[in-house]
Amino acid sequence: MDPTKLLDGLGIDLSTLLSGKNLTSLISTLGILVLVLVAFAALGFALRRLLKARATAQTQMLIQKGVRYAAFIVAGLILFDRLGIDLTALFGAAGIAGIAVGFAAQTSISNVISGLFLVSEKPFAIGDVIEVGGATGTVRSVDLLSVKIQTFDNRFIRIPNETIIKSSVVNLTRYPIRRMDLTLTISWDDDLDEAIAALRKTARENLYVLDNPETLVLIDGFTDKGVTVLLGLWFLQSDFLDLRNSMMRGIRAAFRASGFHPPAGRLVVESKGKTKT
Amino acid sequence: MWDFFEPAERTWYRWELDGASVWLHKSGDEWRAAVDSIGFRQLASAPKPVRSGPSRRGGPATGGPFPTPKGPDLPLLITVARSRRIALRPVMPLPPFLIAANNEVAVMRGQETSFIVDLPVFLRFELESGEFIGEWRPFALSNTWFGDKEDGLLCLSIPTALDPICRDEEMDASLARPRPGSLARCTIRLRNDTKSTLDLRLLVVHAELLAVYGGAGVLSTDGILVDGLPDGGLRTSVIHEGPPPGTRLLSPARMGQSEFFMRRGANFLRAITGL
Repeated sequence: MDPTKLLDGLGIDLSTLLSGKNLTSLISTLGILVLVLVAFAALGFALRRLLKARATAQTQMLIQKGVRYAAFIVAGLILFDRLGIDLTALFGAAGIAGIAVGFAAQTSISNVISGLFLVSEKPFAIGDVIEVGGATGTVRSVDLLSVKIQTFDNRFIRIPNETIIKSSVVNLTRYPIRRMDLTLTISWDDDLDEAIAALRKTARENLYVLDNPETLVLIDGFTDKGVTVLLGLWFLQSDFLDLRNSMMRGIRAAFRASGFHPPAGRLVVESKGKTKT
Repeated sequence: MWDFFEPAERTWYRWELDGASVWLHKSGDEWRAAVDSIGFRQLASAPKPVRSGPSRRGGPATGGPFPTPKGPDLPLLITVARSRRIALRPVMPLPPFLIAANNEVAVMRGQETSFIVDLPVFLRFELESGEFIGEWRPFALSNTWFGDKEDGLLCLSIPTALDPICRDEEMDASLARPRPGSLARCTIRLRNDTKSTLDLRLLVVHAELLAVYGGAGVLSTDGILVDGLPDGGLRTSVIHEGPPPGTRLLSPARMGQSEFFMRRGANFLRAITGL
């Protein structure tokens, strides 16, 4: 499409638009907009440097986003002002529109408010591993509307803030150390004390098991297969996979070396009365 | 063992450290190194059987470098650096050691005692220029935690028995045992000026703050003084008593006031009652 024809159709005279006065005004407006955006970029840079060692990644991200949105709003207001658009009427209309939009966007507003609560309560931060409603993954961002997590099988999940506020959130990496509970069944045919001693020895020799706090051994209950024993192993968060794999291997090797039997269910069948052939 | 030496070209050398072995090979400016580690518990309980080698023919149990015809079947570190001479050096790890006493020791108020603990060193090679090659743990140490479950300190675990040496007491025969060349002997003095008995259970040692000395093939560190104060606090500092027990092989990471490094490092005394 020919731009000259388009401007003619809109009733804009290109020669008038590019006249000396208008051109000066246009250039000064663009200059002011560039200055505003550069000033906010510099502010963002300074804040980033300032907050780098003093604030969490989540707070830094929120402040950066706030600065960016503020820059756009200020630039927009200046542009409207330079174009001679009366903002009073716009704000009045925005108030009425706001009510209408508010009704239509209840869910979004709820998410925004939930997001503010999340930011103030800080149940988790960027980089934490959380479990919400069956989804487990690493928090990648905490935004006003939602929290984005990356699962361990590399899926992206967006969880609305309102869902998080309403649900139980398990933060798996809140504390530096954790306990891994392994429940094992010791066959009725095997010596329980020997089995517990073998478990303790395996835990003691595993480099990923912390010596302090001490390993927990709890005789948990009885089943048809044997006695269940809970082995609570303290470990560093980062050693989860190494610990689990090495302990499973170690327990299997220790039980095999000691000749322990794999627990098997027992079914006692009693025959009553005489059988006829 | 810890001195500089000039290795022959294309020859493997081996150091024996109570079970762990260190290997080095020079070819022009290319250096190859490897370490065969063992578990610290294995070392503490039953030393690894002695391997055949030059050091075993009537020589000391540990030592090196010994020329050896074949290299190790181990992952190698290859470094390119120009140097004629090289030395194996001990280095203290950045994470502190947590000494967990297998036996309970109670020190009554007003008493003073000492303990001797052997700290496993890490190893690296030092070039003539003062630069270092690699850093290895010759003894695999398990991690341990000091502090509460929300916040604490990651340490390297040293489970050991502590034998107190009382004032003016002759060293017990058990303490005069042969000193393994790979462990640095550290003396810890404890003065109990609190108003109650101190029960020794756990002790954190920030070994990076200790200098390491080598003499007669064995390693020693600076001493540590732990003062149990009347207000219930603990003050720990590095002490230098008597002449240095050999050549200084490693300087501490920090000096001065920061040597008062274990203010919170010792929960060793859970039963400070009445304070």
